Amino acid sequence: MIFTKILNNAKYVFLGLFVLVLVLVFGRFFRNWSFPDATWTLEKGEKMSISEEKEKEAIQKFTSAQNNLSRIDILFGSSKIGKGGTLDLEIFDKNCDTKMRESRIRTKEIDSDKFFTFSFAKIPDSKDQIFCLKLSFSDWEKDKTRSAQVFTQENTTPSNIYFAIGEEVFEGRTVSMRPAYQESSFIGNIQTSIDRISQYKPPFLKDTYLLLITLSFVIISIITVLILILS
Amino acid sequence: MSLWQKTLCYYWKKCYDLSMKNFQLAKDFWKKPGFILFLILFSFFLREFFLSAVFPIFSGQDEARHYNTVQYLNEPKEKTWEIQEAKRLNEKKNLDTYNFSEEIISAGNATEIFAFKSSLDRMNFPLGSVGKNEDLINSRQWQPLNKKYPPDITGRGHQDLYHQLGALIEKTFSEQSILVRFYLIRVFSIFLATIFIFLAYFVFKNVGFSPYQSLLITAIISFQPKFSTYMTNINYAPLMFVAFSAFTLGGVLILKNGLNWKNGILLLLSVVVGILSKGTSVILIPVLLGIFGYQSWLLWKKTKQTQINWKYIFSITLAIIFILSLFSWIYNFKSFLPKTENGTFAELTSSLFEYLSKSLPKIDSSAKNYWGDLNWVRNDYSSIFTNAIWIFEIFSAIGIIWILFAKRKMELLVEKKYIIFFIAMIVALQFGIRFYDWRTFSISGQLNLGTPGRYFLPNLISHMALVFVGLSVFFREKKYLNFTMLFWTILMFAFLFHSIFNIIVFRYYL
Repeated sequence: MIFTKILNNAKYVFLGLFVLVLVLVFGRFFRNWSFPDATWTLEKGEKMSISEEKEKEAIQKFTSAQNNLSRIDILFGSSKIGKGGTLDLEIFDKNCDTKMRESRIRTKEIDSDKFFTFSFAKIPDSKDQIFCLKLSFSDWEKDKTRSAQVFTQENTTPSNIYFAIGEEVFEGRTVSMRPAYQESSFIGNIQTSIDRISQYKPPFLKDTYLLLITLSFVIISIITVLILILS
Repeated sequence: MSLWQKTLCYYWKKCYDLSMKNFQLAKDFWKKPGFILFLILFSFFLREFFLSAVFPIFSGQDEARHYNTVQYLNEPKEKTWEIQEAKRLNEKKNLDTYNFSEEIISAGNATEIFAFKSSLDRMNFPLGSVGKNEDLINSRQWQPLNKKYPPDITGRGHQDLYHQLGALIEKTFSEQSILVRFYLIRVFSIFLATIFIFLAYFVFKNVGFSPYQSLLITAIISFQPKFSTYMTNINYAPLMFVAFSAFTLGGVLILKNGLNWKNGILLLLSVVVGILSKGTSVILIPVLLGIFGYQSWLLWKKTKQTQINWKYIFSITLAIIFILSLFSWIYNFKSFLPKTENGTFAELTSSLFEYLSKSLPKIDSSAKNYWGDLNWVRNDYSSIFTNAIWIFEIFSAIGIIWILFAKRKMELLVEKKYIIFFIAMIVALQFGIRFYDWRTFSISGQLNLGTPGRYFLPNLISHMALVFVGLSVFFREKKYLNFTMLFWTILMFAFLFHSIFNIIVFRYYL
């Protein structure tokens, strides 16, 4: 009966599916839509273990270079994590007292070729503020022998304030991380994205032309699929 | 009612009927296959235009080499500039070790292409829409001349039709910056890809799919991620793809309407264009011979032996001789055979088994690459898409086997002759590529060429036709097949847009 009803209203089922696709695809894009600080590089330096134990929690303090901090990319090394675990990034104020943001990633594997992207609601007045990051890993099977390996690297720049695993402090080192910032507005994000893509392009693929092409292809592609669904 | 009232009512009704008719026409216009096909092609072209901007200069597969071939073809025949002998070191991340033109090396270094290509680091973009060294590049201080010999160009260099056409564009805009010339040639590739999709629609329509189904499969092809990203490059592949699509259409039309001069010319021209584009197209020759052979057999059945059409036989023979001559002029046939110490059958068999043991395990990654699995970011969800696709393909393969070997007569969406033709196209390309890969392996002992998924994309039309023919066997009513196609359309749209915004744009700019 329900199956027959679905079949009779197939048009709306596909419309709903298509809307869901748009939400998922663009939702993910908007969530990660921020511009990384290229002065922070992700390097495969010394690996250190982190877990949910207090003595194995990574604490990193750094100075944010811009407003609207909204993402931190972190590079992990190959880790044996069994069935999987959760990477937890908490962002505190400079005293590590007041929690401001949190981002969790559930993962079944950790390899060393790709970084993890921790996105969160932007912190508007983040420029020149010191933030305390707490990074931990909890195994799904609660196996205390399992931990995540996070890459660290040398970093003696002033923006690196402090790095420690539990109580052990590592001078001149940071987690292999890279903060990313949004612009103040949605239009600002669009402008910066178009500016970046426009660089090293001919005039017909720059600025306004590029923006028009982008908007046109997205809108017309969506319209095309809608028409195919409704035909 | 008075006379003027009756007149008023009459004209009012006429106006109303005309308005309703126009409204109905406008309302139904968006459902017309021609309009929807236009939307598919236009959205594809714009999307590719955007993607060509997203991919940095020289980021495509061997793109710098292909562009260097274009520049090489444009050079004056008399080399009056200083040339140095330089070994092709081709070190990764060091453009200076490549024997490219001075302009390519300098522009590539100025745009910091290797910084762009890094999967972990991000470019330090200056504010605004002008790159750090963009004014330097546009000042055209460097010459588009190869000063290091031997120049790093594609295998057949001057013989490739695509590069010759690219050289025309390069020459026409020779006064412009390299950024203009380079991206215009990318636009040329996109234009060719659009023709491929346009021809695809007519292939599906002519084999038996309804106009709506043909539009859906055409849309699926236009959203295929690997096809979309590959076609933005400066590469001889797009022209070869056009040849394949024209050949597929020609073959279908011959099977449908019989051999006539129009279909024959389309078929022969596509083989010629294909061979002049890329060597892979030689696999079209055996398929061509198969089509002619089939037509000859049909003719033989129809006519009695005493009524042989000698003009027809003579034309076919002439065409075959022409094709084989072209083939042997371009290729040294013996050089195609795999190399073994003594050339014995035992050695060849042993070499083949060794090759298969190394190559077959890579089918999984090759298949993922075919659909567009980039593997650039962590957890890119590509496996969700490819797994869903493979489930459908397994059922489709079962359906095809059922059609081919079923004892009882089945009502088919597409006639068997077309199914066999599509299978022949796929088998020929698979055999051709794997044979050539085996040959390369026999010389070097390694999979230097490999079988990346993009090598099999020229048969995208035949592949997709077979997928839905196979699936049609499981559905009694046409609407269920339409639903499956619609699901695929949305799936491909999701895969492509996810790849564009969450993987490609993210990788290079965010």
